[in-house]
Amino acid sequence: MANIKLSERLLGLFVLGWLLLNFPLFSIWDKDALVFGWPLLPAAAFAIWLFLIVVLAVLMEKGGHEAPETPGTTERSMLPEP
Amino acid sequence: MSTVWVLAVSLAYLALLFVVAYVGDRRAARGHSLINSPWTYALSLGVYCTAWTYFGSVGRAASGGLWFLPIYLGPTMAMVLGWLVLRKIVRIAKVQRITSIADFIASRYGKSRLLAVSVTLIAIVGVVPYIALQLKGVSAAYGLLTSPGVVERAAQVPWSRDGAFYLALVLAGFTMIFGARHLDTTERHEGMVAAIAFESVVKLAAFLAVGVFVTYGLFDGFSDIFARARAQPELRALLRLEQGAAFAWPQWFTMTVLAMLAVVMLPRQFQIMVVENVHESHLRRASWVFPAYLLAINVFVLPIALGGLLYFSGQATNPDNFVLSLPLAAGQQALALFVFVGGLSAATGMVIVESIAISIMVSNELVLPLLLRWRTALGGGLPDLTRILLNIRRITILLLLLLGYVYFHVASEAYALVSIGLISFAAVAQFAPAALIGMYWRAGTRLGALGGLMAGFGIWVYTLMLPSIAKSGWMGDAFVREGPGGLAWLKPEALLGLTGLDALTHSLFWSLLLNVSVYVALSLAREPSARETSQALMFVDAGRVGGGTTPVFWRGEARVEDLRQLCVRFFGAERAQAMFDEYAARWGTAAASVADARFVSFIETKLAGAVGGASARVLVSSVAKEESLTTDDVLRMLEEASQLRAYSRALEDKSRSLEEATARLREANEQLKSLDVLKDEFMSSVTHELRTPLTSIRALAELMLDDPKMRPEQRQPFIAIVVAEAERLSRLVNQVLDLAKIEAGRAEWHDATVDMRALVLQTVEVTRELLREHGCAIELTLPEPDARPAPMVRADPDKLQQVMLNLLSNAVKFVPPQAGLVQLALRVGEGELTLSVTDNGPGVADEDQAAAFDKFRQVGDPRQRRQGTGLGLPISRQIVEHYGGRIGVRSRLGQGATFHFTLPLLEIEET
Repeated sequence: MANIKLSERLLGLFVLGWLLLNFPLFSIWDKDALVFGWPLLPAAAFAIWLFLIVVLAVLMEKGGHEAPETPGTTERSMLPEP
Repeated sequence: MSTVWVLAVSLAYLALLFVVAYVGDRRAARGHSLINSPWTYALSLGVYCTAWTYFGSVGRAASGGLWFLPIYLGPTMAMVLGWLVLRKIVRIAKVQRITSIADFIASRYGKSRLLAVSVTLIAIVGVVPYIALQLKGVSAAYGLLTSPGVVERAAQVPWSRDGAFYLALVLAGFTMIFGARHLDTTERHEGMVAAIAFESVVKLAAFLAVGVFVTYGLFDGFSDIFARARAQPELRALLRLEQGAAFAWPQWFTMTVLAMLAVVMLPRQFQIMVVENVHESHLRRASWVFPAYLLAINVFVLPIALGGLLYFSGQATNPDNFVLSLPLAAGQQALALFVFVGGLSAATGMVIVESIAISIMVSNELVLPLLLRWRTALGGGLPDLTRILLNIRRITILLLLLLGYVYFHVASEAYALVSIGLISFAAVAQFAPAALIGMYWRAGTRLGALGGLMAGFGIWVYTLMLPSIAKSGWMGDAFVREGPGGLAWLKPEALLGLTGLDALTHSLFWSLLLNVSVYVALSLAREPSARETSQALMFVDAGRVGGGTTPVFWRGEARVEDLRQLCVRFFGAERAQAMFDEYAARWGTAAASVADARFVSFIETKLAGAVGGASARVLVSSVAKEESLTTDDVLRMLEEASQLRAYSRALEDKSRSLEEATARLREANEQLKSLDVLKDEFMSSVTHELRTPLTSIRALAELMLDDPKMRPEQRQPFIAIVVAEAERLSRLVNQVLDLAKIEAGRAEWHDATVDMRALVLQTVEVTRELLREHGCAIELTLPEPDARPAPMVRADPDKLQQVMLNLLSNAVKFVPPQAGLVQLALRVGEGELTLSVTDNGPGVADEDQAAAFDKFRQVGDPRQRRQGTGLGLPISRQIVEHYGGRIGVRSRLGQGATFHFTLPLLEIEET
């Protein structure tokens, strides 16, 4: 259940990322202005980028780890369990 | 800077990498894996940042401003979906022992050798220029460091004097040692991955160092650089999208998509992300750490580019070299050397992983199948295939780097770093439809994948590769300008007259459109074969199966001894035996002399890990008598497997419901036990309460029996006590019966609409005599007779009266004699009414309040305990709660007590 929710959130974030970083929303920032000494456009690009990463980090880290990290799992067989 | 010094540092750095890789391999061999960590995994993904990133991003930013960004935004978007898509790829790759992107695509479509060969060839064509780009980046940096100011064209340097040539050789040697040492059933290279992760740290540190130096050493921080850049019109334009002309949004979008696909489909990325992945859970952290790494390495790109343009204003400099030329011009030799090492890291990391990935493809998909065919043609066996396989890989690595060097030597002058990289990206993007759609769409077939790949690659060659060659001047560019044979609608950069797009967007649009269309159309045109169907099912269902029961699609006969010989030839006797033992341990049976489908499939998967799916298929079929499967067979096997799965799931369900039932039974048992204890307590309380009046009746009766001459006036009070005690006894018995009935749900409730105001008045009337006896006054607070809402409830009036009588008599018992005051209040609130009875007695201590409603608990001072059964309040509670109300007590010691209860109001429609 939690997994379904996570995948839906990730898809939502994906759509949001595309919207924010492409035409026409991204062109909103194309102005001759400064924020904290940065020109608005590069500042906005990095801010949106960072925002996506932070949301992604929160989504991925709070989900917990469902399986113990054992190298043995790489030896999993394609065959049916008895 | 002296050549010797630079070479010494470079070699020392490579030696350090060697040590890291060696330690990584040693630790892996001892079972203490260095790379079994999400951080290492995330860092190793940094192999995406090559010399192109390191030198080229700054160059691109210097000419186009933010145009360097889409190459890093694409991977970020890909990693947003990483947990959904990449995890599925990783899962499939682990189950099927996928060794490369070619293996992945070929395995999806029935382990097709033709498809594997096609993907391998496209990968080589696409990747050689990219490797050349790395050599170019490092050799340009080397040239700048050792002989600044001398612009020596690569083409004029003989190869024996060319640093790039020796670099290629050194890298080939390094790669051979760590990429092709032994055959493994998982095709993992722990030492190499450790070295790559290490390199990622080095190049990030170096790039940040030069960024900080330029921003804060040469200039006065970000604000200073940006302010100065804004002062110059041509630099000011770099900070905007629309730099005087309409911004090319389609190209922006295209490059983001391209980078998103390339970050998975590039052979080296697939190798690191999928094949070298230790555990799929590592994707969780990597999916944000890797984008964060990309962001970090890009923060200083714009400041360095602008800083370089400002610093070298008016001089002829190559912006691709700013990261090196800026520290050099400022006299920071040590920093320049560190930056060079960072660039070397970026380039070597890419070259090593890419050439290992390609060498695995070449040996598994191209050469080995040919060898196997010759073997069957010659009829003889090949001795020690392992050594042959490894030698093929070593030769491939060497050839690939030499090919890269040749490309660099003859072609690199024609193009900037960025264009070469993008052409490579567009080539590998052609893998995406067959690989990604095939993971979700069962109906995709081998024919469709092959057709789509060919169509897409063909368009790529025609619209991107050939024009770039023509522009380099190696062939006439008439066909680019006028179309082949003057056919304008066939112009490679404006197919069907589609103009207005740049060459890259144009090419990617047409190639992916045709790729997907042909893939879908051909897939729908013909039924897939049985083998295609079975593999399609394995891929599409991979997410759901999750290590459970997977169907085995195989029918035929194979001798175990033959399979053993096959394994011995590839893995040696010792490891082959270990595999057989593993099978026996897992399934509990040693394989019989004739192998069953499960065993054959087990061996085939193990072999696939070493030689790729397509070759493993050939190997197994060479020792087994196989019967060709039909689609019906596949469906039947699938059904068997799903039945098996259904059985095991049903079994699971059953055991779960059994567990639940057990838990419920245990709970019920606990409840029964505690009820049993309660019953015992109740019985002992009841008998105790009965014994007290009985004892007193008996004592008085015996007294009177012993003294028959007792005077009547003396006898009278005794008889009165006997009567009172007998009354108390019958009251007790009645109440016990009442309580038992209510608790057992057998009480009779004669519900009616009750006007509480009238009932209260009636009850007070009944108790008036009792109150008068005790000299106790009563104060009534009632709602007005015509109050709205009226205090009406639906209940049994007799039972409610019993409750009120209980509370009143309880109050009367505790008030001080001749000075008692009982206040009874009936209030109507929101949806419920509250009745409270307040006395001016000694009150109830906090700790006793909760116990006041327990059976047989008479709280308060024992000396003041009046006649009572201790059952009045529990019965009242039962009655009030039966009608959905609450009962409680508020009190402070010495200030009286208030017993109160609520009842839900009856909703009467206003008439």
